[in-house]
Amino acid sequence: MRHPSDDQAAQPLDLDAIREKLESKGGDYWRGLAQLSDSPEYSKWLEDEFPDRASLKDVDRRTFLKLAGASAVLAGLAGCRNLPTEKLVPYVKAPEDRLPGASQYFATVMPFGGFGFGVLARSVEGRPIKLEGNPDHPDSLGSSDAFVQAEMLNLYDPDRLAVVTKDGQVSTLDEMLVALRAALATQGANRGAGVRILTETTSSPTMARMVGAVQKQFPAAQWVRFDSVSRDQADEGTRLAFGEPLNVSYDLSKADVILSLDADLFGGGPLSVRMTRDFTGRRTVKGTKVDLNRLYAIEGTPTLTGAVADHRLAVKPSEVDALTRALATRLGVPGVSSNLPASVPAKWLDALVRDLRRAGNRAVVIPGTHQIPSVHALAHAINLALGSVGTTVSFRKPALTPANGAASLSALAKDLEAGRVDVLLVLGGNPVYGAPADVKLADLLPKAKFSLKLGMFDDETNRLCRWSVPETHFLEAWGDLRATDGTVSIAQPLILPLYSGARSAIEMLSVVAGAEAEGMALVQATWMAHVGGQKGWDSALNKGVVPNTRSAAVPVTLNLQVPAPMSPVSGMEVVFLPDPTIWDGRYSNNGWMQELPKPLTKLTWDNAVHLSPRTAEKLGVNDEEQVEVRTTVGAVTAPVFVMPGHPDDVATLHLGYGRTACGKVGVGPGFNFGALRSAGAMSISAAELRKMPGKYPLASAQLHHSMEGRDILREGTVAAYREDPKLRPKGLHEIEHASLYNQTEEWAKSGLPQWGMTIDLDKCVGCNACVAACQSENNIPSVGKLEVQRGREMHWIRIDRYYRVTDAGKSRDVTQDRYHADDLGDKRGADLLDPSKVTSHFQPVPCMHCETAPCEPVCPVAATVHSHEGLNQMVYNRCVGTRYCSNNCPYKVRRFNFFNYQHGGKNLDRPYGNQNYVGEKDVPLLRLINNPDVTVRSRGVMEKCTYCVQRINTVRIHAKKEGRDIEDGEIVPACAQACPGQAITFGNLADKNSRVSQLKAEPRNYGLLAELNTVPRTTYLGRLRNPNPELVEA
Amino acid sequence: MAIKPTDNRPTPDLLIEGRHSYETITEGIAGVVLNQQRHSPFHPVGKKWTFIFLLTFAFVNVLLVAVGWLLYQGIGIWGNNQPSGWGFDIINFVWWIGIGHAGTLISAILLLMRQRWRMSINRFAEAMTIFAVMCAGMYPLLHTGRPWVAFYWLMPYPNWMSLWPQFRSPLMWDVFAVSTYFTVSLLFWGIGLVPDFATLRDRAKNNFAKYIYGFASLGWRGSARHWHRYETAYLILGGLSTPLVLSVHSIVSFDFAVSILPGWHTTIFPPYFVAGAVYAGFAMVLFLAIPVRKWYNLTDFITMKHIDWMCKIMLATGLIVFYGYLSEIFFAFYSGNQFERFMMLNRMFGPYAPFYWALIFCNGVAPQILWAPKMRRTIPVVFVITLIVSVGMWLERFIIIPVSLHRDFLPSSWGMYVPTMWDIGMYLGTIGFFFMMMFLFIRFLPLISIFEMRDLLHRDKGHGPHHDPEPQAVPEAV
Repeated sequence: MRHPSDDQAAQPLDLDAIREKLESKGGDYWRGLAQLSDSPEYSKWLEDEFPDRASLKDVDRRTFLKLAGASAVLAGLAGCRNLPTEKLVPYVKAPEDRLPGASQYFATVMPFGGFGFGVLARSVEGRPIKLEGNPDHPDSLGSSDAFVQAEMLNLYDPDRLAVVTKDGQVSTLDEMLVALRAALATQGANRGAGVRILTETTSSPTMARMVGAVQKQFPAAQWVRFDSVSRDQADEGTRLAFGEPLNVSYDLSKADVILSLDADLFGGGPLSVRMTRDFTGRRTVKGTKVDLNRLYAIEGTPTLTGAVADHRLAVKPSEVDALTRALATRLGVPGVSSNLPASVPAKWLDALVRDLRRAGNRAVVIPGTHQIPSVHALAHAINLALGSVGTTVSFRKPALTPANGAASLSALAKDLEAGRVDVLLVLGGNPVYGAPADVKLADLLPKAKFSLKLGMFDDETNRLCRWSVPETHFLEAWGDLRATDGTVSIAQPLILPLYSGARSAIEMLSVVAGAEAEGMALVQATWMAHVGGQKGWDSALNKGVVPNTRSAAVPVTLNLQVPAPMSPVSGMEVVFLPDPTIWDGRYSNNGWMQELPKPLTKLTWDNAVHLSPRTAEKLGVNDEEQVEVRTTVGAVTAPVFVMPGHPDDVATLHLGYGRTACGKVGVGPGFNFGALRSAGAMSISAAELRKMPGKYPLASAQLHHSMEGRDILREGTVAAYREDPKLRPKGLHEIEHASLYNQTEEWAKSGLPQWGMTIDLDKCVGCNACVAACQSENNIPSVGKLEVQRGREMHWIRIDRYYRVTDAGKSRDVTQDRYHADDLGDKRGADLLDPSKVTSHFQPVPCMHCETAPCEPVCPVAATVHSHEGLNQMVYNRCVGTRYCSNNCPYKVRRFNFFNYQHGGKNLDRPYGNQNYVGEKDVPLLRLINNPDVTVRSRGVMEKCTYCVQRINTVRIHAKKEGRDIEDGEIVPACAQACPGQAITFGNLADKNSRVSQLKAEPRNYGLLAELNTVPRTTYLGRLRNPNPELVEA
Repeated sequence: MAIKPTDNRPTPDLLIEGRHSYETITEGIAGVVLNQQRHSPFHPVGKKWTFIFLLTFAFVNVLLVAVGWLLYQGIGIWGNNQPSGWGFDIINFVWWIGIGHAGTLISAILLLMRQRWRMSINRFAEAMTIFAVMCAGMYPLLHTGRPWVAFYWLMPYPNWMSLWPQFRSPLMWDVFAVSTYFTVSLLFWGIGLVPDFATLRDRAKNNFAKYIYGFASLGWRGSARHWHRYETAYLILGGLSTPLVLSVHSIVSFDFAVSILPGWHTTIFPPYFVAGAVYAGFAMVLFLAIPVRKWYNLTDFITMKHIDWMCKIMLATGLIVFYGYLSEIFFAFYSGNQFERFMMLNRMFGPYAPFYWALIFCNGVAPQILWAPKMRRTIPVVFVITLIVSVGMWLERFIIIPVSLHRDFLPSSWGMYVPTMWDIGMYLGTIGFFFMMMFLFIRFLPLISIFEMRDLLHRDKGHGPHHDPEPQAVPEAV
């Protein structure tokens, strides 16, 4: 077969024509004369796949075979990456501690909200697989939250950027460096006035040092810091109160009375883990000894804080300012006047004021991060007036002077518009998506002459920058970050970057500063002197914190400049909050976080317009029906999800959804409410809502919200506890477990440990850390929105949330239209209309490991059996999947693999869990995340909580090797380890002195559905409320 | 063979109507099989047969696709979920098993009770039993997550790892109950067919048919010794089958009664399930017999008297079932157990309430029309009632299985059960399979026992003892 180009390619070049063309051309580079001539023949030759095929005819048989042989050999080599030559030999002398199958733990630090959260990463054969909190880190104390757990999946995300690209075309790091240096070279003359570095807020000292180095090179270069979810208002608040921005930290372990002014203490953010730990640490109930703090929550949107609070008042977010002023006046803050909003009962406020006064310096008032600056300033003033600064509140100078994100981004936008930006380096973050709608960054970004995005994902910003450089995950790179109290932790990599082109922000900055260096060298340069040499360095790495870096609390003097009171919004208002699982969109592409039910709504895979039942009624909408939300800068149509307890005339909108670019999982779910924010109203704004036609299906993991008067979640006031320490519902006939079998004696005879668990409902704040930790530990797949809608989510531990009505200290079940066909439950019953009276209650439910487990005798193949240590075991290999066990489980904690969830498949709608991936099967990268100690379950088998039997066995092996018994507290299941509230206790019931045995001896201890004689090994401790006696009806 | 009908006694309720001789009986029944021209697509009767066969065959293909996709994808293609681990799979299993029960009752219990009227319907009902159990049997296996291991792991067989099934599990008992039931039913049916195979062999003109029927007749020559052994074997199998009528559905009901779920954990289940099974079975026998007796001119053999009596059995068993429903309501409230009480209220007023009230209408109210003798003998009424009862018995299982499961102890886990097109496809497929097998049976096997009808005629003529004082060892030779 002859190809037309066979002849053309052979045609000689017309030199004269080329010469002619040359004269008209500029100084572009060219590869050959033919390219320069730009003749149609040349273009054709370029496009032709085999231009020289004519020459193939000249090849004789021998040459052909030679070439074929050589090609086969070279084809094998072509698959290799261009890594430095390494010798592959087995260990002659194995590294100490590196044992196949044994885990190693390394301390490192995870960035979140600008601060560092200390973690211990578990690594198996060089592969990080699980993160735990670092007990030595002040913000963690060994606990973690769902975000920490989710980072594991972000590391192995198959959608991570893998190569350097220029204008969307694959390029190389070297080409990028050449281009960057060329762009920077033009900036020398104007002292770098055209250079802008755009990052998120950070507390990294090395980062600050590197920016300093850049600014030394380019003194006029600007560092712009912007966060979609920022602390700008808090910084502005301390500026109003003290004249300078300060970091505030609260020590709840010393607080007797806590008032939250629209603050979400436990629901995410850098401080929440520590605050949860300190808060629940002050809720001790031991026999007759009751020592409880008291939490008041004034909130403009339902949060975990309100759910946990002893008193909760729902107000509009814009009313919090007036309320704070009223409080300040009554607590003796000078220079403030106010009118109490009509919605706040005066009696309630008076009682609160008296309680705060009584507690004095053991009281604390905490303003919400998203509240306006005056609320922050007044809260600090109140704390000063109460004398609590120094005990429960402390102020620290921030290591870096914070910049107002929205304002500095607006300035950057202006510069871009004016063409003043030549080199724009976006190092991390996603400002195009997070920017307020009136800062048209998306339109302006292409105006920068040289723009570069360093990021992990091909997100909205990445698409608009010329150059894209893959960023390392924090588990792949060196770095450092400060905790909220200033303590520095060094981030050490656990694995080589999965993609060789990936760089960290500090490495990029070192290039800009003209002294390219590796991350480790950069971090060492910052800290080597401080830690005093290699030994100190090793110890700092080992411990996960750098000694003597905690910044001291500074004394403050009030210099209050309160602006005029905010005029309350008369109509509807909206409040923008980070999503409880996706945050500002940084976990959009994370299947675990998408499927993690939002703590209060139990919604998965979407955000929605959250309205109170009364407001929904007024708008004529119910769940899944759509409304258009319109602010001054934009309009978004989204479905409604009614939320009892939500204040009226307010809509809560969670950020982070409605992504247009980020990866296969994140693009699709939810709605981008960020498009409604303006630079002046990043968190609270007036808005108009109107009903729109159509419905949008939502996937909620829980459809019914009332306990229906059943004895499920026991709770009561302290007074009720004194009356009946078992907190039994009135009129309950409790059936004591009666048996001829003397359990204690049998346990003693066996000599085996008997595992059991308690969950203290008083210490559970519903934060989801346990659910996420379990998912990470036990290789639990995500199943996608469609499957959640069908009720097939796979979480081994779930957190049930029930609504109750609490009025004047008395609490009762809500009457829901229980016979209603609940798609998402009818939440518009008369009971649920008063937002301040609706209370939310959480109950984590793992497998109960019943001693007389109903699941066991019904399995026809004996795939679920009891161990001698009391575990209800699931033998996956034996399971044939009749699902009878699940039908007979009164707790419904068993989970069935309806599809091959672990290996994806087309039935799953964007699942992306451990191994599965949208429409694709078996993504090898996702196999890396699996815990090798836990079987990966296949299609058609049942699974459920094992009490982390793999952890029990690891500890048992250790103890056996050391010839001793397992110590109390040595075995910690993943849920208990993550729990920031320390609500979950696991241990040996046969040992009467173990913590779990002692907790089970508490009168509050009760078994869920124990009347069925299941004899559950997991039991609960009833929840106590500590209402102000003044507010309780006699 | 040339005996002319001589007896013209005007009895309205004869078990054989019309003026029949042994020859006309044999011809009437065997002719359905041997005169294959009647099944030709161009014959007026054959038209119907061909249409039904093709229609049901199409549904069998639906079944094959549904099962194939199920094996390829997994249970997820169905509507089963958490909390409703079972749905259409077990509903249909129980429904089909129930339908089979009429056959066993007719062949076994009525045989032992010497109810001669069973003779014209037993063959037909037994065939139904076998095909219904085949349909039922597909479900317990295919509803498992891993049928490729489930098919033998539920069997107790000695193995290296000393792994045994869980003998305490009702699903394990099901394996034995259903497999025994199928085996005994098949044997009973096969043995009953032997003398008729011989008749067909003798009458067949087609050589191929001769060979096949000859092979199946196991060398039957109608000698007195043959008859003696035959009768003994038949009686033994009848005795074996009798307890099965009670045990199979009792054990199926244990799947529910043994559990702790409100709505399942009920002592009344075994008798009420057995009664329900007989009820559904007779409904299905009538549903099939009514058109078939018409099309194949068998109205003389399946008479109004048969229909009347079957309606009476339906009425009686239907009342037992209805009593079961009432006692469930009573116990739900009398027990004082809040879960039981809620379960009942949820059935009555919950999201599936229309199904519950439809069930009460279908199984409780509608059949009461059969109290009227005139109605029992009005074919269209009976036909509609059988259809209503079949639907009602399906609804009963729907109410028991997903409606109990979907809202149990913890309200947080409540959910809804909605079947998918694959659930419905597989159900329609089994219905198609059942009817296809029935129509193949009608075409190739004698759908009424020929020799028993001749025996009946003999007795009707007053030759034999009228009231069967003793089991007849040797009926009149052919």
